[in-house]
Amino acid sequence: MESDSTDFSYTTPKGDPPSQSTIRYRRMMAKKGKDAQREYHQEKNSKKSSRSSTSSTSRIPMPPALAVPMPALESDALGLKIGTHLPHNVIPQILTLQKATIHWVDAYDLTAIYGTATIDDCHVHNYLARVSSKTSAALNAGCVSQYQATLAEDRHFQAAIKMSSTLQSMFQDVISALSPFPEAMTAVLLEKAKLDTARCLVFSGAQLAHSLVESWNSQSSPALSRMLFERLDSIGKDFKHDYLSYRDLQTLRPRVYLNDNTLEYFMTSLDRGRTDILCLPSLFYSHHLRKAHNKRNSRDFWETVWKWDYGKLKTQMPQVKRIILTINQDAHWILLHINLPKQRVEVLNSWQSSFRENLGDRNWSSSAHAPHIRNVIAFINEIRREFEMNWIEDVDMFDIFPHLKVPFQSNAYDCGVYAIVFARHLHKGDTVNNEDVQVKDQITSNLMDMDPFRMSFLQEIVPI
Amino acid sequence: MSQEPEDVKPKLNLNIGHDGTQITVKVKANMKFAKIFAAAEQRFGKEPGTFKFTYDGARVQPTDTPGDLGMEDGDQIDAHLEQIGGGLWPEMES
Repeated sequence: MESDSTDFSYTTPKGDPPSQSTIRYRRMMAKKGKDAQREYHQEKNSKKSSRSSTSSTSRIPMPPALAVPMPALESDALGLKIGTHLPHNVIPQILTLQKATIHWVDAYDLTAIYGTATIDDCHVHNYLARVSSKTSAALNAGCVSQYQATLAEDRHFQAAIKMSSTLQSMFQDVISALSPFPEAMTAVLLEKAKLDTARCLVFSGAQLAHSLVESWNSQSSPALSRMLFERLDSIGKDFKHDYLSYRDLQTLRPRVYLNDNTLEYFMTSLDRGRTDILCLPSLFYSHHLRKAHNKRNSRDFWETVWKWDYGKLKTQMPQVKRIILTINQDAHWILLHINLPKQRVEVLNSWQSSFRENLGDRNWSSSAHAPHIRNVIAFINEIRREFEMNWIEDVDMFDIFPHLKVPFQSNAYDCGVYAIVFARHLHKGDTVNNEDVQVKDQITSNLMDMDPFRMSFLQEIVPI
Repeated sequence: MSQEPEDVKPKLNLNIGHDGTQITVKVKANMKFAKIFAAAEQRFGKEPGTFKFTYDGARVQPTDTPGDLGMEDGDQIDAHLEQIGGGLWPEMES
């Protein structure tokens, strides 16, 4: 069976149960794995640089993290037992321990196991899931809720984020590094998982991490904003990405105005390849469509417009049902949403406005958005004409919503984040906060700041 | 592919326009745009990295070359300033 090395679940087993022979084989491999561990220990003690010839070819390079000495993992030292509540004062100790454990797990397990690994098509996800659920069940019973409550307190929040993300990335690393490898790893992990509570924490960490990551999206805190600053500070100018530059990425800093590239990228990053929705960047509007009303009868003008994106616009247009236009006006981001089947043109402006309640206003010409709406009307007319899309109603029949009621910002710098979130919602349905948007991704008015969203955008580009 | 000596390779004149001003740069078809961008930014008196460039509406990446994009002599490239936004909708100020 194929196994996606980055995607793992805790509950759903994938594929058929292994055959008897496979199980025997795995047991054998598991034993080998343990041998490898022992061997590894011996070598570590004797500080030999080379290892046995049988395994030297397939071994991954030794991570430098190995230099971190593994502390004694006596659970008694911390007063921790599975199922007991964690006292507040042990948190820093756990964090230190965890950091070391993670290094240890990375360096020790991966090298030890990889040393004897052969490629097998086994169900790594399931094994990990079993290990993880066993250990975390014990934890969940007694301490996780308390643990989380403690961590959620502001003074621990930063630590919690750091920990959970490190754990998450560790899990990803372990999974991707070991994805071809089955039972031996499981045996080792299980063995380790039983050792003591501190190690259990590591293995149940992914679950804990998930819930913590989810809670990012719902709460702003000074600690989170600080964290966002720190993370962006740590990104060097040599940052490389297919689309975003260092400069673009830095606009995710708290209180910083988002720039056009950042908007363009994140608005569609989760929904690439959609043909029914067209999300056009602000450059399209400022460069072309801004003049659409005045040049509505100029063939030359529309020729240039349809050339957009090396003519891709022209090819894609016949399948398009909805269009999202990004508009930058006087250092403010707004979206125009054209819903062709529902015959609506909506302006999504996150700035709180006294006109907000005027829904479906036919007297939109007095609105501040009137110039944009005029251009969009010319655009719709041209779409109908150029592509003979006769199913589109006459634009006079369209309902115009110059001030659609949408969640609004409570500060003067987060409109770009609102615009991205609006666009992402519109990819799932035709309204903001539609029923297909997950609760954690929903957006409300008057959020203190949008740093949790900024953080989640950053997380997409530079996972911790 | 013909392997002509470098100095005989045909050069293209590309027009780069920004805000009503045009400049012309003479480039080789296999020259990376990073270099061309830097030259254009200097000619317009802007900091490096200020502009983004489009050709027929599509973004030109610094790693592209005129040859990659099938550009011909006299083609037009547009330079745009970065747009930023955060709030302060003028409606509120009235």
